[in-house]
Amino acid sequence: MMTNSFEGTMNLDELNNMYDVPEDYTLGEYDEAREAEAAEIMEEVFPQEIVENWDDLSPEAHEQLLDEFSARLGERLGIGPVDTVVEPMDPSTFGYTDGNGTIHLNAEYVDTPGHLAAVLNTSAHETRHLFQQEVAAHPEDFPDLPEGLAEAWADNYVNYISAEYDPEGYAYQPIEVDARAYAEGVIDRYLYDMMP
Amino acid sequence: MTTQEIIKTLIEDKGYDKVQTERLAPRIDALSPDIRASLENWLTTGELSSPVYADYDVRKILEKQPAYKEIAAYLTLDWLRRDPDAAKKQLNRPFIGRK
Repeated sequence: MMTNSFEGTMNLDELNNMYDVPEDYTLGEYDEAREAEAAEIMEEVFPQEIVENWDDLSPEAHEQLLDEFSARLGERLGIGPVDTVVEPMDPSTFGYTDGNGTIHLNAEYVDTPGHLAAVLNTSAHETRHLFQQEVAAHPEDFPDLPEGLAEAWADNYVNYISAEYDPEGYAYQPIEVDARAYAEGVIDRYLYDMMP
Repeated sequence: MTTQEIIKTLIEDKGYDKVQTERLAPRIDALSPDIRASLENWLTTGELSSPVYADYDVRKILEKQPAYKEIAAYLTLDWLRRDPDAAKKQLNRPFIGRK
């Protein structure tokens, strides 16, 4: 696999396998600005030269950049800075959040060549989950969101479907579809602006 | 076995989470007869076998996604039967989500 090139480092084939949103699902117009802002931050933190030299950067530098991205995105989303921790995990996991303002990314994917697009997708996905949780807890802080959305997300968090038990139910529950759609939109905007 | 008996066995004998497992009743009801029969066979004999759909059986599913419970493998097999493209995408995708 080519690395140390934009395309090689990004690995769009891997990214495409993460794209799985029902065809009739669209983020609301209210979210287009949030998508655009996230892509803008992604471009600032991960410009062409960073991506092309990603494989030569140290693991510490990888984590620092990913932490900068999530911190700035969290602030822009109105949920406060989000911390990123890069750590060893089972290879079956890209990353997760445990809802305490921190997202966790798998060091194997962060620090091994050819996974950056998937890592960025995961970062946007997990940060979106933290946004969902904040909306569910404090809907009054997000008056632009449609009526009922906060309640729907709150209900889903109470009745969360675990992938360990029901992968299909997990994949299509509202907060996962929303997080995938958001992350896909962010990455698509970022790549559209970045690809030569 | 009835669906309720399956659920009771999963919770009491296999140690599955009660809330997550009880929620699976409609999915278990909807399983194709051959997949349901293999699920019941596993619960009664311990033999983890199944029909094959889209080149997967339950063992191959569990190798691909070791974090899945056995019931998730049977449900995924049924998903492969109904929508192989979507099911394979989920199978081939490392976990991203909430812990």
